[in-house]
Amino acid sequence: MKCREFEEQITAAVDRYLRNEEKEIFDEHARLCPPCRREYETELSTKELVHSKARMAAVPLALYHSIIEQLERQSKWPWSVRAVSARFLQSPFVRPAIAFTLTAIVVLLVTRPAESPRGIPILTAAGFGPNNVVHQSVENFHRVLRGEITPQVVSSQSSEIQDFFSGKTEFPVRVPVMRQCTLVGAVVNQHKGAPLAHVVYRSGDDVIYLYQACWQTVQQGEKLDLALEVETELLRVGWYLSGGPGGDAIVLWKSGPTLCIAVSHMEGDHLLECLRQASIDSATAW
Amino acid sequence: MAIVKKTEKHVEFEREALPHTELLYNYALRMTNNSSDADDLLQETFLKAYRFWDKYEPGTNIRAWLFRIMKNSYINRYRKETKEPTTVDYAEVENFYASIKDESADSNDLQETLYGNLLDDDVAAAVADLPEDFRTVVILCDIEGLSYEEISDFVDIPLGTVRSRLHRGRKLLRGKLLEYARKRGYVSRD
Repeated sequence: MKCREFEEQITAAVDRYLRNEEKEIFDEHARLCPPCRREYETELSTKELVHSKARMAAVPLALYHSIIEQLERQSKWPWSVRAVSARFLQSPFVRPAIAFTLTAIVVLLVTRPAESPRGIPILTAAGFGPNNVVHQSVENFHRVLRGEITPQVVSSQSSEIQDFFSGKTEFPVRVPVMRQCTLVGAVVNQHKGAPLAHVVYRSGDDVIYLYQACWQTVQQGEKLDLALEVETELLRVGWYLSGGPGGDAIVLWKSGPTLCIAVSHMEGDHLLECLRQASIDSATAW
Repeated sequence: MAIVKKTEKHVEFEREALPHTELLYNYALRMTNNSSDADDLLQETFLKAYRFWDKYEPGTNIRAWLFRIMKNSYINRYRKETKEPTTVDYAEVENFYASIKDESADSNDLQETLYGNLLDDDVAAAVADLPEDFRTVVILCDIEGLSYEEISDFVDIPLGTVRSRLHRGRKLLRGKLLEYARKRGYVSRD
């Protein structure tokens, strides 16, 4: 065995991963070569030192109980919200107020002057490149709220919005039907030649903005990109939840060849529930 | 006394996920080096895991699934704040590795002296000071006692990479421990 080969096996020897015959050859080299033996002993003593001095800490009891309590609260959450919402909506003063707000939002969205589909500007903030899809989606969401992006098609029918996108993108555009959410309209545009689909919903006095792009284009990272850790998490868990700088809830998921990003001022839990319910209702893994 | 009937999901989650609290807590503690941040990270991990429990595939490695949620939360929460680069500069590590390799010719007696005198806090601080990629494998292997296979699954790197990161991580750690030993006068500065 050469010293180089010995060194490559040091860690496996320290962690007892060498087979008997490998260990015999390893030990023989260590016996004959003092510098290599010291290398092995040094790594072994470092591991033992860490193991003995950096001991496992016990979980504080108060923390454990706090987690249990929070889980119990969350397990009751869907019922509580529905019940509270129902009571809230039954109030004679609330419905006209919500209706007025919704009308104001729709009027704002529809009456602003239309702009070029290519004209969605992208803010270049520190830490984000202009091609970053999360950044683009958050920026676009705020532009929708300010009425700076107007719909190219206005419809509350999923099929009509779906028809609008037909042939305009190389990826299938998802137009989920979400309970307690109403479709408002849609826009299609391009970023550096890569098609992007934008769908806007309203839910109560909240707006849900859905940004969609070709997953393959995002993965290539030339025209559009995504932080590596977000991409990794998406591929592993199938979703990614994040918070934007202004308290926006951002949910990313991959639906076949399509990357979807939903942004809203809703609580993250509420947004997720809307999306999850839509997935269950459609009985498809969009 | 109110009797709260737990949902099937809740019972299942408690049974499957909560036994791994200690493993996650210790990882959080070592990564954040702050008990308050570790508390927050652990709570966030369990709440997210509970919310997305339907995404967990029964029979797959629950510890790895929880660990990935925690790692992702850690990245979201702390890497943004510290502006830490997302990748390790391996060239820099190699240089450092080469420089400390020369120092490894110390006698075993000297090693025993300097290692024997170091405080628990010194070791914890040296681990905390490792670059993230190396810190993760050292924590999981040397503190939490996980196998290479589990670490490979947790971190999503091949077994060979687990081994090489451990080797380099321990080398870096040794260099940092030497620094502490010098500061405390257990070993000469020459």
